[in-house]
Amino acid sequence: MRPRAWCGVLAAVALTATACGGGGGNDGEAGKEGASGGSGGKGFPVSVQDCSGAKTTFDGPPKKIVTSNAAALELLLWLGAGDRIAGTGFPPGKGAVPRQFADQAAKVPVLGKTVIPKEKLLGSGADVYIDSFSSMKNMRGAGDAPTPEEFKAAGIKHIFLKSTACAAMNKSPRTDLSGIESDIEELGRVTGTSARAAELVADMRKKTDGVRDALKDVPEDKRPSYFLFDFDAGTKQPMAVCNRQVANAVITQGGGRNVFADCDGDFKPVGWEDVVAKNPDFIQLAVRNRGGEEANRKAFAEAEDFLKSFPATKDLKAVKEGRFLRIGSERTTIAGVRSADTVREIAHVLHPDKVK
Amino acid sequence: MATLAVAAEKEEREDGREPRTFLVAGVLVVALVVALVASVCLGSTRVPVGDVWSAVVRGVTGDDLAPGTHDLIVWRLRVPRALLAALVGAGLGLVGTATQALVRNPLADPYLLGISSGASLGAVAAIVLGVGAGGAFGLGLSAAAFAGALASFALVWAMARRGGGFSPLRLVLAGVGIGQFLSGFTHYLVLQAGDDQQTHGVLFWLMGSLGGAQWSTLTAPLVAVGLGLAALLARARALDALLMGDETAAGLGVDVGRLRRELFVVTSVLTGVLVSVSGAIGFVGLMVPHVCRMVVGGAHRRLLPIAALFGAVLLVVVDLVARTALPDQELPVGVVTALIGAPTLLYLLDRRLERG
Repeated sequence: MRPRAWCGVLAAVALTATACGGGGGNDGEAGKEGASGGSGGKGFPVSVQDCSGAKTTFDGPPKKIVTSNAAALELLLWLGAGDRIAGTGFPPGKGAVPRQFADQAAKVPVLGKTVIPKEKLLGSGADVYIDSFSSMKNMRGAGDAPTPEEFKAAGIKHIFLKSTACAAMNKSPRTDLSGIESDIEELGRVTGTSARAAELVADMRKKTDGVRDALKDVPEDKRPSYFLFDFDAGTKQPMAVCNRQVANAVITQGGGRNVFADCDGDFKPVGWEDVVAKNPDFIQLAVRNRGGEEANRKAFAEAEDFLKSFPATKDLKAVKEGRFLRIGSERTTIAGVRSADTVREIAHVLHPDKVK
Repeated sequence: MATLAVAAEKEEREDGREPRTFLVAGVLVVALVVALVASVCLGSTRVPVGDVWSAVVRGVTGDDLAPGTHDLIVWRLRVPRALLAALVGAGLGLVGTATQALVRNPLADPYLLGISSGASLGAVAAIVLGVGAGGAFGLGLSAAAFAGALASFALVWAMARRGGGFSPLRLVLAGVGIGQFLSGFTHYLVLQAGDDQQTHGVLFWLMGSLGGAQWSTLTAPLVAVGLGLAALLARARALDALLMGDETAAGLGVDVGRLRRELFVVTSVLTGVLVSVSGAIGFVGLMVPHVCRMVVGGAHRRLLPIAALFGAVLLVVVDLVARTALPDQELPVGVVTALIGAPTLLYLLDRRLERG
């Protein structure tokens, strides 16, 4: 009890301090939002729900935001709420965020190289914590995640990017980007940047609708089969991207048939036998950002070399014909504005005559 | 040595276990063949028996494999995997038997001496620190696992030898202590990996899996298990003597210190090779010698080959279950060995107690 109470007190003190100190900055912020046509304080109170349906209500836009990882961080940058980010876990590596945000992202304090330690998170003085992957089993297992009571005591509202955090609990497959879009809209409402969110979503829709129109004459069974090879999850046992994961939506929208679309869930370890049996038409070499173009190129090459030298995969159709897509893991399996670009990129490789 | 040989032979004649051993060996060989056939025929993909047969024939005769996927699945994945399971199972049976004699403790297995922990640490460090994750299809990882096994072996050896000689107790304590230390370090690294999929790549080494099997990975364990069996069989009499206590063994003309060193080297190298191809598969090394001792008695001349055979059968079956128990998912072998193996062992112990 005692340590928990202390946390609360410390966090409360920190919060008050920042609230007072940040007074001037707030005005500026509000003004900026007004200028960008945002709904400012008007749209509040705003309520959002978590994966289980529990509600969190905001009476005004948060002033200090902590993000669990680079995906949530990037979304805030897109929304123009970057100046309110007080820290992040899983910081974006060099080159991981779009160029226009690189400087701003680099300035965000890193509260944890992976999961943010509990005390640091609770003591961060944030008023909202945006969680992209809280449902991930091992993160809970780390025993480092604050409980809802602790969040409450620290005055932190805990909200989720539901398209990824709730993926495993979804009831039906994800085949379009609506989950990502509603995450963006919701984040827009919470941070008082709804107008910008609407712009972003409209822009994404334009891209995905364009692809959809271009591919509308391609019947379901004529679409090439597609395997997302998660190289970093290990090569002894491949990891399947199942139909509740955002990547399933990205692949489907891109005109591909995820070979593991019949598997319910987000990720599942399968056997190589399952991959070989599907004999995919295309394979995405999904490696994680290695922190630089040269390093990324090397990682893509390693993934390709593995498939070309592993006896069971080297004679697969896609491998023999060199039908690989070098698209990073993050842009496919994590929700973001660029998911729409990934859709286009996939569609272009799979259907070059229809999508330029 | 002569007296010992006479004593052991006399014992064999007396308890009449020699003919029974041949019977048991015969049954196990048949069971192994059946298990191997089942393992090649069954899997998550349904392959008609005719196709299995023709794939095996083409593979054995060195003909070109048919371009379809069934040949790849049968000849490049299932056959090497089944054979690897048999080899690793046999090796674990031998290692367990030797370790139990080495420290004169029926609870001993490679884990107890910290060797498995060292191997896991080596592999996990390679993954998390990003060394050779894919490179020459995981050869870097196997090498790291092997190096870890040998390093922990050297540590345990150095610790156990301080103050001169090997006492079983010192060995066990040094093994447990160093094993715990290394596991702690491994867990630290797993937390550093921090994300679900990469953690899964790590799990392979902690829970064991035969998913990495290919024809080229069979050579090392084949040689190691063959040499290990020969080396241990050559010391079968001395092992029997060792179980009667150091003084008795010395009285029978066994150089106890030297024997322990030899056993330690054999078990460490063998364990290192096994872990490097299959991760740390627990429980088999502990359980197999027990079950075999119940059936054929404690004389190592009989016990060693039977333990190798039984270990082989057991692991082939366990791997088959791991691959097929759940739809669209593959379980780590360690999960299955614990879930099936532990109750079996307890049941057998219980029955044996009842019979007195």
